[in-house]
Amino acid sequence: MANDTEQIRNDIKIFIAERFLNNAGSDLNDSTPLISGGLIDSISTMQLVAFLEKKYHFEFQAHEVDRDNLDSVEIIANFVLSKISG
Amino acid sequence: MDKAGKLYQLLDVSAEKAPDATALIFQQKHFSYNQLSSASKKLQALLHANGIGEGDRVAIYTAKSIEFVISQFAILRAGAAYLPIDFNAPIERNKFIIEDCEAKAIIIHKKHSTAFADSFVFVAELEEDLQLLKSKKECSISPIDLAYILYTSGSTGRPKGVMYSHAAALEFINWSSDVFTPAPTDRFSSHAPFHFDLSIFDLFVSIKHGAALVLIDENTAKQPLLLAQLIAEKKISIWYSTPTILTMLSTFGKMHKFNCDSLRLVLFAGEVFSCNQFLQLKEYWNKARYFNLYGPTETNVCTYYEVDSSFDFQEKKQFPIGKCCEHYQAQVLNSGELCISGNGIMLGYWQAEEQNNTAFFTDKENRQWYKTGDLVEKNPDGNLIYKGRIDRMVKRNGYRIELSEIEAALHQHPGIKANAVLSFTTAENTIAITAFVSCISENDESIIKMKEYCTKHLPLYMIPNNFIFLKSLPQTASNKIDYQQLKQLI
Repeated sequence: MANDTEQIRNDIKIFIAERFLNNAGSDLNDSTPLISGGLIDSISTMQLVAFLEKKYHFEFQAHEVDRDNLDSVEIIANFVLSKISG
Repeated sequence: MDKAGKLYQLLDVSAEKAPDATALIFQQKHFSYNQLSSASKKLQALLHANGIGEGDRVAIYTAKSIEFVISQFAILRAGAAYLPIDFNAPIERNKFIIEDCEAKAIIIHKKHSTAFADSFVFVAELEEDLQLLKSKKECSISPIDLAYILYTSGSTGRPKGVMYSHAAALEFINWSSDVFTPAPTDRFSSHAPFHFDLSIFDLFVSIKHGAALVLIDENTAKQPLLLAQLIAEKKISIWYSTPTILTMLSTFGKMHKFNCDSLRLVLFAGEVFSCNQFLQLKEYWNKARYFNLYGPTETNVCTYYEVDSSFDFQEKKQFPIGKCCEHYQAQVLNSGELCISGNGIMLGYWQAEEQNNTAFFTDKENRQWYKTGDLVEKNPDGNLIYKGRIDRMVKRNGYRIELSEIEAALHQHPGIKANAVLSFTTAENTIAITAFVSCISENDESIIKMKEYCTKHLPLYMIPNNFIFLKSLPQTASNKIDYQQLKQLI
């Protein structure tokens, strides 16, 4: 499971760095605030959601597309794990 | 339909006709015309008891809610002007706005009021406060007096206040009635925040017609899944938003799951809606009529175009912004700049004589014209096509942004030597903003740190998409920043 978490975190980091940080995200860490830190706006958030749904084969419920589930790499990875293992 | 002279009279007329009809829907709560009218009269009395009345300005600093609307009508009823504040913008910017327009009071929630300890603050726990008060008699302001001030991005690096009178706002509201013929059975969306000019249509046109206004909280407003669900559940019939939101809905809203056949009118404004995105939306919402509305905050809507089967969708051209609204006159200067004249135009910018002098001109017949700064072309059929700006203002997600306001905010960063901000159109036809920054130390060269800094100094919609770090910024022969050279780097 530890490897799974690590892998998910890496996948998310790569996606964010490529899509929203112009590949210059070397200081992006697991706890960097993504939405509250202004790194991703509402459209980027939806692109991230679409990426996660496709990559990990699950669907967000409407109320789950929320800062509480998406504001850092760590939070997202935990949320994804809870969805795919649940 | 009776023509009211002041905005709050729209509520009075509707409340008298159908007091029990629903005026506002917010989450699970329904608020009737009678409740709204009576709450606004009580808050007016409270304002009056605290020395607030004709000629004053009152800021409203709460999230979108029924209390927000009560406050708007109470302030108007008191003869004062309301100043809606962007609840999520940095406090520094909001303090500037409140001080700049010399607001006499702030209506605010208790948990946020400590930031304004020195100001005259009303805590927005209205229901409790309002029990004791009896309503006051009507104020004696004139329809040409100030009704509200909407702050928008300013080219000087500071936001500027667009002042609107009751009469000018009513010109637009009455025009909307004529064109869209709303009915008491309609349900309007209130998607735009109240500091955004789209809200004038939502609020006052729905109230005028005794319809119900569905207030959409800020969290739901940017989540397409929740929005699609809300439109279906609340049976919204008149929708008004920016094209960005419509695109998000059709792209991410899983629209096939929701029956939105209640929609009879879909209005969009604030930016260009691409033909492809429109067609994608229309696949789901095929029963509605669609209108492209155009107009800066200074004029409200001044041209309109119905996107119907007469448009040649094969060519995938840009939708026209259409023809001049019936309450306005339009002319295109030789430079291509669109100018607008009529009674629906703003009173001017709040305490900005220089900007007022450049924004208007008077013709030989002594008519006043507002210069929009937008470049247009006229099609042979008389429809206008938007061609861009004459200056550095851009529209992103419908919000207007003066790039110099972003530059001014970055200039305050202690680690930045110089900066320049540019915008460009992406492959997906959206506007992206890039900041070129030269830092004193390499330690500050982080997109993450820069964006975090921006969240504290700029509204979210103004944060650049990208930062490019340079040792120094290229300069022209006259020692000014060479924007042309920077453009090549994007």
